[in-house]
Amino acid sequence: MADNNGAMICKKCQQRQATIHSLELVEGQWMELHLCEECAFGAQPQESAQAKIQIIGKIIAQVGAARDAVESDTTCPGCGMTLERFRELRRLGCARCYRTFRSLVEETLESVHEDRVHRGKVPERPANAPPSPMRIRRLQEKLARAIDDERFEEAALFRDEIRKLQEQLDRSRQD
Amino acid sequence: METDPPFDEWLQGRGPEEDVVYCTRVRLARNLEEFAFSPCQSAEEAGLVTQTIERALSPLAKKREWTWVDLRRTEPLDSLVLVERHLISRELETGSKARGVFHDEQGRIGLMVNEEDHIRLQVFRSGLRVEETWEEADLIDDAISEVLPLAWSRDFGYLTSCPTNTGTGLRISVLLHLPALVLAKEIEKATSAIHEMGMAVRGLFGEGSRSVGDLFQVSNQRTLGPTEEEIGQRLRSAVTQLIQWERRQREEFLRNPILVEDRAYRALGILERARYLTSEETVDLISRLRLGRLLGLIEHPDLPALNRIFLLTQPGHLQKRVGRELMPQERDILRAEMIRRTLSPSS
Repeated sequence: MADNNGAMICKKCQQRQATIHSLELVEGQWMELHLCEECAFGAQPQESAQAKIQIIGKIIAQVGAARDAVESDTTCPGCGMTLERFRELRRLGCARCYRTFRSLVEETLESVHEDRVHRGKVPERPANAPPSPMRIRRLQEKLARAIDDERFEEAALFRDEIRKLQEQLDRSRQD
Repeated sequence: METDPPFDEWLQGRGPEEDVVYCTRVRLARNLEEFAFSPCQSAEEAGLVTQTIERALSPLAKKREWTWVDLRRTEPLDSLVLVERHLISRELETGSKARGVFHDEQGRIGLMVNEEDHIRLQVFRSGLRVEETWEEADLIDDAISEVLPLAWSRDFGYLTSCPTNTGTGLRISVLLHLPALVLAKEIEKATSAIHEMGMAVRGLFGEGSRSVGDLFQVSNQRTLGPTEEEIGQRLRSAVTQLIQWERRQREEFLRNPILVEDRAYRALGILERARYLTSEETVDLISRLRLGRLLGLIEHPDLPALNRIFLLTQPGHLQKRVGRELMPQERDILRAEMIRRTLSPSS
């Protein structure tokens, strides 16, 4: 979306000029994300000024540096782990974190194991089995709590995740 | 006559390379896909994870005759005994959230629930039995994955809370007794060579480079990249190397055995007569006696007796025996008394 001068308009507010460009993985597809500064930072829930500076560093990466830019999305929709907290704890909060913080995870794995690819055992029942209804229910609880606490940006992440899982579950039931 | 608890696998002292190796342990770290890992887990989720795993695995536990221990409802002394039997970690013992362990009677299996990872399976075998121990753990892991969806990805393998366990989630450890290398002051050279081979070496007890009782644990560091079999082969060859060095050093001492013989008899003298023994001193003295016995320099006590003293005089076992908590000093007096009785029943 471009205005008459060829400049991008923010995808979220549809008003200001988009100055921040990144890629985001949405439902398995890479989506270009063009936001104005206000909307981009508004999208980072409860970040300190320091964290914002770190995020800027990440967000500024242009569309080409897709994988890095994805990590500007610093809150894991699976568990609420933030990039900052992962850096501090060096522990992951859920299976989904491995995707949310992929580049940092890969970097860490490389430094620990001098490798980043698993060649060992494959579980009997593959992990890409349909999502469990329990997982959806738990996300719904988190969504409700986030709304109660007025953490709307986080709530939006949970909502999207629930929608995605529900679709996967419905699909698997039809199969 | 007091009844002793069953002799645990890790202290059986029987198996391949038993003169140097106490036991082989295989640990697998696994998580449930649909639950948050420990850093992001609420108290409620902890309860749910523990319950889900306990319920899902109870048929397997029944078949294999495992006992379930809910650690929130366990007496502190009983938990401590489980730590000393190597069936649970200190972390699991001291935690406050919902957690538990499935274990068998012989101390061969300990399946910790809701530790740093949702599932920490540990399998023990006496002596150096890397392949056999892995195969057993693999089999149990298959049974687990049939009833619980595990967090796994094609790229990274099994997903764990800490990236140091990602991939296979496999840590194989071999517990070795290396008194000759320690006595000859060759241990640091030896352990750094093993370290170069990509293995971690640490003392079983004690901190830093000093290991109480000359007991060392060698384990793989990398869990991602190589297959489980490759991890096992590399560990095995590092351990085999260490065993050869220890044996060579023991032979060296046999050329002039008086030093080792004197140390063993002095240790025996203290154990038979002392009125006050800390667990640290006890483990050190046992190590000296064990070396003397292995080299054929002393006849009494035999290895099973030494292992028995080792296990039963640890703080948890000691207090369990008298059925109450004891002050450290009381423990040391009781320990000395028990050892005197075991070694010289006539006195």
